[in-house]
Amino acid sequence: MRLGFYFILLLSFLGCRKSSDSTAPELAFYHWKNEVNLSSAETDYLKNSGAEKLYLRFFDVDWDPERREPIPISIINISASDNLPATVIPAIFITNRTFLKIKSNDIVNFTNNLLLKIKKIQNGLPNIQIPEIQIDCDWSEKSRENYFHFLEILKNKLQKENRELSVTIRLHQLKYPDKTGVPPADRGVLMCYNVGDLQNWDTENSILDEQITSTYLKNNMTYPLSLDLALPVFRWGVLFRDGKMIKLLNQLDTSELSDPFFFTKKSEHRYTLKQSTYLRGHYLYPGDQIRLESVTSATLKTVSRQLKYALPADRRQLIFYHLDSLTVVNFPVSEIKEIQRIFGEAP
Amino acid sequence: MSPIIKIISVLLISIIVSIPNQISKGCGPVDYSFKGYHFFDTDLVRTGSPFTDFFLRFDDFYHSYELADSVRNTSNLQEWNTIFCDQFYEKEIKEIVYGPVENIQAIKRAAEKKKNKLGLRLNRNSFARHLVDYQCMETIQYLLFAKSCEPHVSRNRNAWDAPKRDPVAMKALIYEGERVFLKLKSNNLKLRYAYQLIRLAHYATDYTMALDLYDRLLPRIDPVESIVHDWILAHKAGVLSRSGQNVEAAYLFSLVFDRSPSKREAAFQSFSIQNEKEWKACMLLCQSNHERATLHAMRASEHHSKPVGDMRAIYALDPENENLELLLAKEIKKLEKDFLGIEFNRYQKDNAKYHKIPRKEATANLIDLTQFVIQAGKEKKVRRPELWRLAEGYLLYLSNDLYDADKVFKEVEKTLTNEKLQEQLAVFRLVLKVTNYQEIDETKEQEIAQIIKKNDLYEKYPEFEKFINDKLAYEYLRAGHAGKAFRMHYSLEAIKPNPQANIINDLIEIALNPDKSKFDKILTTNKDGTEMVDDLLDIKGVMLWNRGEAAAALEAFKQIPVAQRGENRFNPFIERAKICIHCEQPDSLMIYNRPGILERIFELEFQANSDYANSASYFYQLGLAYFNLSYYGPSWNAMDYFRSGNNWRYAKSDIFEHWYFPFGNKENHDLSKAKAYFEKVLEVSKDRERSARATFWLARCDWLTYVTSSGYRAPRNSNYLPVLPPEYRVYYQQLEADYAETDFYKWVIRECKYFQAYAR
Repeated sequence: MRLGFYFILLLSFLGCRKSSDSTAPELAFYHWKNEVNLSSAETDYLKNSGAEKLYLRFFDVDWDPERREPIPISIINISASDNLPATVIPAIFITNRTFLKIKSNDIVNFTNNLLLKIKKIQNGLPNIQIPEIQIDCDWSEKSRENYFHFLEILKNKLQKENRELSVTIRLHQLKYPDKTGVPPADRGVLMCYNVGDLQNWDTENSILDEQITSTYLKNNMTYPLSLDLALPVFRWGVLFRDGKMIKLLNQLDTSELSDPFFFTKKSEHRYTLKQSTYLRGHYLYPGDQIRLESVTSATLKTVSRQLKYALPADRRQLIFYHLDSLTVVNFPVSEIKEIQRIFGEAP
Repeated sequence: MSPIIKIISVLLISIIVSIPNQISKGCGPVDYSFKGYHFFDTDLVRTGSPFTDFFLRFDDFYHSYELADSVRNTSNLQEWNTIFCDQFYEKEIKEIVYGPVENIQAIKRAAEKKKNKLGLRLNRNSFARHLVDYQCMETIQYLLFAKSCEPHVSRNRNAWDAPKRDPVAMKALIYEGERVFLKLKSNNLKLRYAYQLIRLAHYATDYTMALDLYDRLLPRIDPVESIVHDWILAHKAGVLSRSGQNVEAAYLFSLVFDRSPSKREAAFQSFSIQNEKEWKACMLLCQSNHERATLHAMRASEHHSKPVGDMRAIYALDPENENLELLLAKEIKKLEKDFLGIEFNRYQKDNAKYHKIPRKEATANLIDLTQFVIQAGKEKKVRRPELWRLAEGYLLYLSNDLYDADKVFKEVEKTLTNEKLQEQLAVFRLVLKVTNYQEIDETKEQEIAQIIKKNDLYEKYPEFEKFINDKLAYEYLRAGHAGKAFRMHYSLEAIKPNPQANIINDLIEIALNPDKSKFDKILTTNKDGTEMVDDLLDIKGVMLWNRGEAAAALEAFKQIPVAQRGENRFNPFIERAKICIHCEQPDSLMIYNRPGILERIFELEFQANSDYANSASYFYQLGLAYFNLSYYGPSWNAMDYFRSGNNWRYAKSDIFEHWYFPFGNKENHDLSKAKAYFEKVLEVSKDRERSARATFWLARCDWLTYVTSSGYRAPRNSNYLPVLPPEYRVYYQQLEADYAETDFYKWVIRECKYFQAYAR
């Protein structure tokens, strides 16, 4: 009898664990480089984190003022596909001006071109599943009609191929769906990064700031689309000249600014140039300012908790932006897993 | 009319008709571009330098394939013509070189005597005839070979298609081309074959082969002057860059930048130095000070550069380098944006907000450049020291050192022989003169009129118009003449939607002054030559009326001669069952002008407070009048000049930003007076039908007040009724609860489908 009691207790305990884990999101990563050739460290990182999907930036689309049509730019070059996970999601970034300029009559043709281009690139990825396509566009009120029309056409075409369409959603679009509209897609990915004012030197951290995200996220928010979440695991240096932001230096690290002959450290993450020098192929002048921005594990956890309460969901994906050699070093798998667990914890 | 007045009239009319480009969020053509002045004429440095286009249009740099192709094709055709002793029209060569392959095939057949006749069209082409007559088989073969290479090296017409490059076919062409190359006699054609082969190897991504071809083929070509050398060099640089030899690649790109107009922009885009070590290594590869100076010029041309350090380096290496003047011009253009007229530029705040101009370190940049320019002007090692002295004066002016600027201009005047430089000096002096104007009086206004009338530079440099207008507006405002300042930029129409008391009162005071200056007369005269005073008084009356100062408003209206008061007619005292803004009303009913309405209102107020038996009727008419005079009524245009149908919404102080009106468009959403009178009806009326009507008007007023309140959010693209908070539904409920037995209530039930929704 007593044994039976303990057995039931154990079962109920396991049952609780099980139900708690069921809300833990699946992990995935973005890959945002032109050249696809994952190193063994990156492949191991993917495997160890349990990520079975990789969102690959296939190409960007911008408006070509000479041709007066949208054109693909920065097209991906897949040098090696052996190390890629079994599922890949093509991500296409489209500039807002594309939808500001395109004529509504040309949207069908544009959609066909875009799908054809994806298929051509997809041909270089044998034995890899592509169940979804993701479109990333920070649309505005004026471009919304064209953008949504494009999404409708694309979604219909993808449905016929049993594929889903996902779109990126910015925090302000989550907060004000009445004003910004809700894109006609199967799913959305809430981009929880680039939240601050990048152009302002006084901004503490434009990548992720829990104070800013808290102003957008309230408990139990609803959004007409199922939302996956994207969190940042990147760093950069923001270069200011004459008080104006002029360049982003990706994955810039403190060690590159450590030479006191050239750089003066003004505060924890802020530097000023003392002497002209080159940095990452850019010629810097005395007086130039650099703000180093990165995301700490603590901030990621705080924002994850905000998100967990703001957008409760049974199943969702947690996508980290983005996978590269520095992410592997700066964010060990254990930290990624900890963040994943936050979403699985009982409230 | 005196000539001066005529000139000022022209000036003012041009001001009046010009549309102000005020940055605004209101609907309309919003212009976010930088707005300032520029007087430094970049033509001064356009002395035939092949770099001019590159440097001077760099601000709006956009890599244009079409432009690069066009420059390349033109220079290529020129070279083809040179090879053939300039015998042909370039369009004839173009038809063959850039025409369809069938043309060349026909020429080949004719030249081989397989078919003698060229065909009518080609026979008219003397270049084609020449190739046939002289059996230029090497050239014909080359042209055919180039055509067979084209598909592998050209951009696709459809940007969505991947490049159609077949490495196997490309390699086959390389072998075939090299076989022909070895047999060729013409060094020009050898060079062109070498170019085709190296390009094919580059695009086939066989970089080792490309470098090998370069090393093997080039020594076999006797020296020949050709643009193709630089094209080959550009490909070699590209190959080296792809192979990781960044320093060598950067050096070659700098040579291409220096020598090849058609490849200049592409070379600049590809030029990349990663660190100090690479920069030093690249400098060591340079064969001359000119080449070293070119490296500095390229670095100085980077977007957002601070070029003075590199300009000093160029000066030390190669003081006569033509890029120095171009960099100087580019830098002065930037400093003009930072400093020129900064004190009185009315778009100063927008420039700071949207463009961060003046730049944070603009003063340091100005001092740095001025010091260098003084040195260069003094040492006289540069190509044109007088240009540098002129720049020195202008930079001192931009530093607000007007005295020294004037001194330099006087010194340099004696040394200038070049007409363009003399004109530039005259422009700078005129700018200085206008800047020096302060406390504008009648004499100065006459002087300015003379500038407009007699100075050719005013006509030639359109910048002077806005420069002078802005300066005068600034000085007038400083002197307390808000009205004159306003008129330097706007017509009276621009202030009507939201009249400003300081402007209107200033203009009225000027207009009524019998001893006003000629300039003031122009400022207060309409386009048709009539005086503006009546319009100003009318605007003042409307402004006061909107402020609730009805008696003062009536006084202002009454200053207008009776004959001039009656053009616009209204009747806000007519009741209409449904809200109607643009409804047709018979002319016979339009019996009131603006003062007439006010007089009738005063009369009704008097009657309401004295004739107690009928006061409900008078209060009802007053409520109606104030409703009809509001934004929501058909007589809105008695109390306003401009109404936008888009403004059924909230705006702070009811002022809606508008691209054309500098003070926005103030809408008369205020229904408080109408409400107060209808509430009085409820207090005093014994007639239940009238009370029911007044209650319904009150409900309407609450509904309209709510939908234009800050708390209301209209649902997008929806015809749903707004959900009224309980405090805005009181009168709907009261109508149903207290007046259900009235005829009016029955009418409401029948006509107003929405009533039930709010009455509950």
